[in-house]
Amino acid sequence: MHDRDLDLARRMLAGDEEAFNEFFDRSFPALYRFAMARMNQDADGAEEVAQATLVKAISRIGTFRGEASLLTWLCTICRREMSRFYERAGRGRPTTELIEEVPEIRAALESLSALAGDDPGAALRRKEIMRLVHMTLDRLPDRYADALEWKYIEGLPVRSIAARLALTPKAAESLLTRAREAFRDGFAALNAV
Amino acid sequence: MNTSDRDDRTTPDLQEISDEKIAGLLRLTGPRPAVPADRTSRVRAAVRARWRAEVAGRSKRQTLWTVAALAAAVTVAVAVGFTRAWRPGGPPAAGIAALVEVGSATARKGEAVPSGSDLMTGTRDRLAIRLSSGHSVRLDVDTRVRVLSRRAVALLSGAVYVDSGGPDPLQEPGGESIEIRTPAGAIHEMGTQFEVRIIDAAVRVRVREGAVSMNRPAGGLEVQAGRELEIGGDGSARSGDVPISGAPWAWVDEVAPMMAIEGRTLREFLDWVGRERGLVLRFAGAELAASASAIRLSGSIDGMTFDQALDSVLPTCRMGHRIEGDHLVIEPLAGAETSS
Repeated sequence: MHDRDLDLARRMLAGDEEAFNEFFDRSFPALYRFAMARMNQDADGAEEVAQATLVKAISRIGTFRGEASLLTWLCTICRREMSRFYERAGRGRPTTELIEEVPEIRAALESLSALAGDDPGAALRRKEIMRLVHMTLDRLPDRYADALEWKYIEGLPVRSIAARLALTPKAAESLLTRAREAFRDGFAALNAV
Repeated sequence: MNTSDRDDRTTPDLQEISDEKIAGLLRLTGPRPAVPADRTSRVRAAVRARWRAEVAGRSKRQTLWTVAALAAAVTVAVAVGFTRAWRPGGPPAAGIAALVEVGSATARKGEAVPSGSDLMTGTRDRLAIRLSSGHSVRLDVDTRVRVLSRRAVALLSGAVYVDSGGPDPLQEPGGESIEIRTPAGAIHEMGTQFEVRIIDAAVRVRVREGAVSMNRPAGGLEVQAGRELEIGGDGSARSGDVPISGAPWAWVDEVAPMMAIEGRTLREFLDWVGRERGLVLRFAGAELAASASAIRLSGSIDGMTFDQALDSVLPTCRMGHRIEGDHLVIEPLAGAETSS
């Protein structure tokens, strides 16, 4: 059960403004990127689809049971909204091959070591891996994703991360540990799709 | 990687993706691309409007359920009275268009109303019906009317608001005039929006758009837009000015049936909002006006208020609005620009 998401949905139903902001800030960027990746980088289309997804989700938020995560639930709605978008436009959905949706994912992931190095011939797969990593980050709690980005992309020391999160350095280290574990689990789950 | 990272690491042979690989992956892929601020702002406004409408609607449904559960005797009494007033044999003269907190639950949206039927609202209920002639008639709280025919309604108590244009610009009446009968005389519309209210022994008519004529034994009277006329129980007449938007018409907004916007142009939507609220539509530029005629809308504003509908629709079209006196001003959304 995804108790935190369920609690968020309940607070939204009760009219809690803070809950709405948390829901939107967590969901919209992830959904927008999710749609962009599947709509040939059509930014206007992705915006429309992400908005339609959130509007539909809000009208059905009372039916959210927390059996899947909120973002997984939203992504299911988003896929349907993308289909509707292309139906309205009278054109077929682009056949974007996404790494998490094709059987070859395992092979691609097996080459991660090479991709993490300086192999210049792996640009295309690197792009796909990039999307997978970003999707994994989107599915983590905000603090986890932020902490990982600060640590490994911005190169911030633990004490600076602690300051940004209003934590003690020890608590920040502990949070980073949990964040890495959550990333590992999330990445492996996508790998298993 | 620092010492603390090494300390956190689990046994290498038990994990498929090591901490070093996570670090490498993140460095390789870089930060997640940010969503442009203008897109976030537009979508946030639209989604928030829908959320507020949803929360407000839920609150109303919960109130209704509580009232029904706690006051069953009252509910039954209202239901019996309502049923007796219904005239099932009469030809259909109207349909229920919208309801606000109908406590008795004896009317449903879309239900046909036979001619000769009485419709009543309670102290918390409002109701909108559409006559077969196409006119929209809205009943305020504590109101009783008899639907006499497809173009005539008798006001027995309370207040009604009549819109000869109706909520849907594609369903305008085909040139038929509506008549509201009152104890003080019959009121005929002349292409208009107006309210008729019975206050003790007096009858008051307020005109928002167009004009109405009142036929009474003491002689006919005409009331123009922005004016009100009150006929006392002794037949005396008093007239005065009334604003065409704002507080006097607030109750009408609450029961206004929302427009079905799917496939309609933004211009049609804005014309409808302007008319419903008694506001004159004004664009901040000719380009905006042209865009509004070209943009086709998708989705639904069911359950929203007018403000929520504007807040929901306009940002998606990169536009905003403000009320300036009697004008609904449409302007470019602050900071709107195409970005990806």
